[in-house]
Parts: sequence; structure tokens; C-alpha cells
Amino acid sequence: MPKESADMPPHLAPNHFWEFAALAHEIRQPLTAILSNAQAAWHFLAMDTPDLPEARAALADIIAGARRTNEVIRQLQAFLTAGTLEQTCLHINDVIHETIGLVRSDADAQHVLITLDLAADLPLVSGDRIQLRQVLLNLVRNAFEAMHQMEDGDRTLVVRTTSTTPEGITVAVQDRGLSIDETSLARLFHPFFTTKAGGMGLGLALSRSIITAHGGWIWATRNPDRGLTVSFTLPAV
Amino acid sequence: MDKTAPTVFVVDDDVNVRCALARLIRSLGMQVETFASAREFLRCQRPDGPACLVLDVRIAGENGLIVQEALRTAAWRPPIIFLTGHGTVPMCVRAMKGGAVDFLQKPVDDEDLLTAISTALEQDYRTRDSQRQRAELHQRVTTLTPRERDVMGLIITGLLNKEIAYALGTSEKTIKAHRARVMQKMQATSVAELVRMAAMLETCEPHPAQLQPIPCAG
Repeated sequence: MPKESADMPPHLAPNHFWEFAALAHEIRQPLTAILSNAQAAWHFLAMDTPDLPEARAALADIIAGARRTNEVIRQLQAFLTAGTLEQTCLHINDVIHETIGLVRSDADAQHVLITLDLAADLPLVSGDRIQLRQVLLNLVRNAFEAMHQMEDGDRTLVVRTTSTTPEGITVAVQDRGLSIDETSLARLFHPFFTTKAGGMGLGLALSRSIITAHGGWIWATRNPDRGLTVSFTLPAV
Repeated sequence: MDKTAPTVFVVDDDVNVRCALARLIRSLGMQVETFASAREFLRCQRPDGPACLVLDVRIAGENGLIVQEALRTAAWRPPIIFLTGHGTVPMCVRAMKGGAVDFLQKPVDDEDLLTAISTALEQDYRTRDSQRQRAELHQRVTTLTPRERDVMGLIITGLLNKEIAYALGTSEKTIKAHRARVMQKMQATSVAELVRMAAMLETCEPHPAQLQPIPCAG
């Protein structure tokens, strides 16, 4: 991010300025697509022989773009309101199984081998099932994305649960994707930080909000050979 | 695809923006090719006709301005139009100083884009034309003998035949013959034209043969 402090409005804290700049960018992107598609449709229809297929394709993309812009705003709302929980007592292993069930077809399509190393006799944790599943989905999908460019047969994902002292559990999601650099590692959980083309960068920030609200910690470490392991703890009931 | 028609290259990591810009440029009657990354673009072939590049300055993983730098020593240097969703003034100044045709904010208006593209293509057309002329002149120079080259070098300084003869230690008659061959081989109809040709051959722009293929980092 550029550091020109001369451009920073004085009433905004330094961190938040760049978040707002990133948010503006996230909304400008779909708006750019919408405007260009609309103007293109206009030109295609103004031709001596209007190009109807192109105009229709442009309109379809405009509709998709409008929905995408709404999705950006929805994600932002989720991020800002994370922390309001519906607490129940959960077996974290069950939540993991549910999550894996949701991504099974993606895993098969992308030839990702998922290994579950789940401890038996874990203590119950108190949490919002939907939000914790959201965290796991985020970590698992990030892992898929990280391994996207790896050779077939080399994409392995491990989800591990262990019990820890003081009374609690740790969940670790380990991938064998491209390793990230020091700078990226330091900013991994920042809002709007992303290394993905087309990514918005809220997933991990949202995950951190959720885990923190549950009384746990979330962190990432680079694996000795390759890839990343993202882990979080939750206190036992 | 018509090979001598102009081509607009669009590089943006957002597939929706890429597709929309391509559609807009097509609706304005131009050929367009799109790439998701600067790296992919740098691998493509130079088209036969004039070309320009519409580039998002924030290309994921690579800074658009670095691409501008890399293109500076490349064998192919299309004029660049930068697009940005959040440009800062210093970034814009750096881009313009680096020789960008324009720096437009997103969402981009069709008229602004068309104006910038027209300017860029016109610039590329003129560059390619002068590159072609320079290559042609280089070719003519290679047909000169070393002696003829010496004579040419002295003609353009304005020396008379007998002065050239004295400088090179030979007869005026020999110099006249050399002069005639120089003018004929270079296809110059006057000394003034020969001087212009010599100037063109010595401009700061490196000869295309001296430019490097673009390094692909990683």
C-alpha cells in the first residue's frame, strides 16, 4: 500500500483509511463492469444493424454485476456485525464433518485429498454452529485456492483437532500450497488484505472476529516444507 | 482477425471488468485481446498493426507501474493507458512521467476511454512508422562499403568534394564517384536529405535489434 500520508484525511485513523480505500475499490470494480457493459449495449443497439446477442450478453452481465455489488455489501455487513452469537454446546468434530460434507464435491473436482485427524473424547465447546462452520469453510476454501496451482496428486489438506490445556480444543487446517512471504503472513488477518485475484480479503478478518467473539485465538504458521497451517482455539464448556 | 487493423490489449485481473471493457471496446468498432495478468500479456506476439495497452495499475501480485518499467526496454512498447479504482495523485504523476498516454479512474466513461485509445493508437502508428523507416535506412547503410561510409560521414558535415579528397588522401574524381554511389545507395536526392537520414539513424531510440526480449521473472 502506498504510504503518502499527505493524502490521509486527518479525521480517519491510519488503519481505517486504507480499509476504506480498499472498500471503495471493491465497489468500483463491479460498477466499472456495469457501466462498461451498459455503454457497450448502448453502442451495439445504436449500430445500423443492432447487435442483439452482444446487447443481451451485456445486460446479463449487468444483472450479475449488480448482484455482486450487493454481495460485497452483504459481506461487509457480516463482517461488521460478527460477534452476535447463538450459543449452543457443540462437538467440534461434528461441525468439521458437516463442513467437509459441504466441500466434498469441490474437493473431488479439484482432486484435493482431505485427511481428517480428529481426536476422540474432545471436550464440548460453546459456540454458534453456523458461524464456526463459516470459519471452517473459509479456511478450507482458502486452502483449496492455495493449492490450485499445485500438481495433481500433490493437493492434500489435513484438518486436525486436539485437546489442549487449559481446558479447550485446537483446530488446525493445513495445506500444501504455495508458501506466502513474511509481509503477507503479517497481514493475513487484516480486512481487505488479499492475494487472490478477484478476492475481497474479508474472509480471514471475519474468521478472526468470530473466533475472538468465542473466546479463542486464531493464527497462521508456515509449514516447514510448504504451505500454510491456520489454527484456532476454543475454550471448553 | 484483420492483421493491420489496430488492436487494443486489456490487462485486468478481474474477469468481469476485463470482459466488460472488451465488450465496450468491441462496440466501439475495435479489435481487443484480454489478459488476466501482465505476465501473460508480456508473452504474447506483437500484432502487425498499431496497438495500445489498457492496464489496471493494481494488477494482483504485480504493480502496473513496474510493468511500465519492464516494457521500457522490451522489443515491443505499446503506449499505455492506466486504469485505477483508487489512484493517488503521486501514482498518477509517476505513471504520466513514465510515458503513459493517460490515467483514468474507474468506472471509466466510454468517451474518455475512446479518446485515450485513439491518442494511443495514433502514437503507436507514428512510432512504428519511424521504426520502419529507421530499419530501412539501416539496411541501406549496410550496402555501403567502408570507404563509402567514410565519404558519407564527411558529406553530411558540409565538406566540398575537394576537402573530402584531401581529408581522405585521395583524388577529387574518386570522391565524386563515391559520392554518387552513396547518394544512389541511400536513395537520397539531396545532401539535406542525407543529413536527415543520418540524424534519424543516430536518434536516442535504440535500434530494434538492440532491444531485449522481455525477461519473465519466475
